[in-house]
Amino acid sequence: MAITGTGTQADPYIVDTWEDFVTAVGTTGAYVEVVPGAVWDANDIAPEGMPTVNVNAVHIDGKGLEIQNARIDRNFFDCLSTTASGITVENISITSFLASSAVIYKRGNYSLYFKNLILSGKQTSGNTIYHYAGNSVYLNSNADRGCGFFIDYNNENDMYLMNDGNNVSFRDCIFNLNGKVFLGTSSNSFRAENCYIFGEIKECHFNGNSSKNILNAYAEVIAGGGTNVAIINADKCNNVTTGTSVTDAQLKDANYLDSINFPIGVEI
Amino acid sequence: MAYKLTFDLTPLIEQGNISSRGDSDSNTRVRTGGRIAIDLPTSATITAISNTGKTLQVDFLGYADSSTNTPICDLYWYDSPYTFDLSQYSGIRYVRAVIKNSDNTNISPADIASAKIELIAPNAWYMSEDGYPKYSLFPELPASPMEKPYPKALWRIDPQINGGYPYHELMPGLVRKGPGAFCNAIHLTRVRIPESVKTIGEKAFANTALRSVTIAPDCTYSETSFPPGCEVNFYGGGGQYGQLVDCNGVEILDCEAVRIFVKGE
Repeated sequence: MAITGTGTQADPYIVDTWEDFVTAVGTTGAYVEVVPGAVWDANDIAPEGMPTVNVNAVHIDGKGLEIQNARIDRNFFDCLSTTASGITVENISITSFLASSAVIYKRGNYSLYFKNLILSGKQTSGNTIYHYAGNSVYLNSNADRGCGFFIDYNNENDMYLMNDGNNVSFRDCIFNLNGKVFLGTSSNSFRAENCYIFGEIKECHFNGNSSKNILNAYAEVIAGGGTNVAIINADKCNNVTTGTSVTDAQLKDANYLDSINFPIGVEI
Repeated sequence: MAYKLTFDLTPLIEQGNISSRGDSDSNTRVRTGGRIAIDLPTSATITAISNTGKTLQVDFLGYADSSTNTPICDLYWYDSPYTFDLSQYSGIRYVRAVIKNSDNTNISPADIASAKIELIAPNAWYMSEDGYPKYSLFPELPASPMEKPYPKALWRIDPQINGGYPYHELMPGLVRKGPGAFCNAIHLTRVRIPESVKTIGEKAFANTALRSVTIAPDCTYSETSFPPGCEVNFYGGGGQYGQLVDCNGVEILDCEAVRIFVKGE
């Protein structure tokens, strides 16, 4: 099937092949949709390394698209947001990737929004998401559900899920991260709301605007502005300077969490 | 799916009122300090009990964010307890409450024996199967960060490949030694191997029911190519090889009962 549609919001490009997808998302200002449930195996596309995909579209709905087995040794999705509406990317999974460069590279002056994005794989160097310039990167902004990250960082060097760019906001996200990875640094703005972080990380620096997070990961340093920005499993964390430290047993106790005003919902 | 969440407001009660311009002083009102984060509640029940025996009335305020003073809704005054139907107000993500005596007399935080708010919301933290809290909006993660077949450029180690040293699928000349073409075909009793076949790999017919095979005399094979006891014959009676016989013309077999072929001068 060739590309159908005209690329407008009312009549988006519909694509079902990798080649057409690259063409469509590279079109400035375009609206792009993938046929539902598409699965593309990078071993069949470019096993030696995926090329950079220039994203100039303003809206990409993967409709459940899964891109598997991508070898990423140069910036993969290069998102150049040049319009005030920014770029919205949703319903895409990039799984079993092997990356030594950025999976998502954001530049341009305007914001980048991700909804229902799943990233899983192995990052050997570089930052998984690189915020080069411009306005904020929002992960799960007004989406039906959050974004998920399941990434091994097994490099001996310190690494970042996101680099220390400006205004990075996570909401309703789940992180399973392993290795010497930073979630924010003392000098940047890692904002997280309603997020669950587990695995084994190096440091997590919540910004003061963060709230309602649970950090259940082995971590060397937990810091940030404000107080009570997170429920932190103190059995797994050292150097906790912000948030409410609880024991592992308390973290599993709904009544206790209720008592410290971190209510646990009861299904009705 | 919906969840009920209960917040104890008692420790949050402080003196003062809330208006569309924000907090203001008042001797006849007490309010919750700060905002409670809750995603898109569809109803809220506020229950406040007085220490003085007076009837309390409650005011519910819903906000879109954590800082804007103007609420999405400001619903007042209702005798406690009262359930507010919020289904017509979209976008509430933070809530507050104000409490007063129904007779508008002075009130202080010490006059509030207890106060709580029960919220019904489509999403919430809940206890997941692993015993830890989880938020209902979280996506399902894959079972593993890397799943088969893996990127071809991923280094791997397999005792059967590259001598057990690291390899990846893009390596030139990669030698894969699999378990054998017909290995473990346990019901295989007969096979015809053409004379054109010149190599039979290790364990190619291991663990089969073969009792004899015939191969080209110049075909190379391993002692593990065929199951133990399988008789290996050669096309043309051994080609340039001959069956080893004793002086009486009786075939000589090796200790595995396999014919022994020898090549003459």
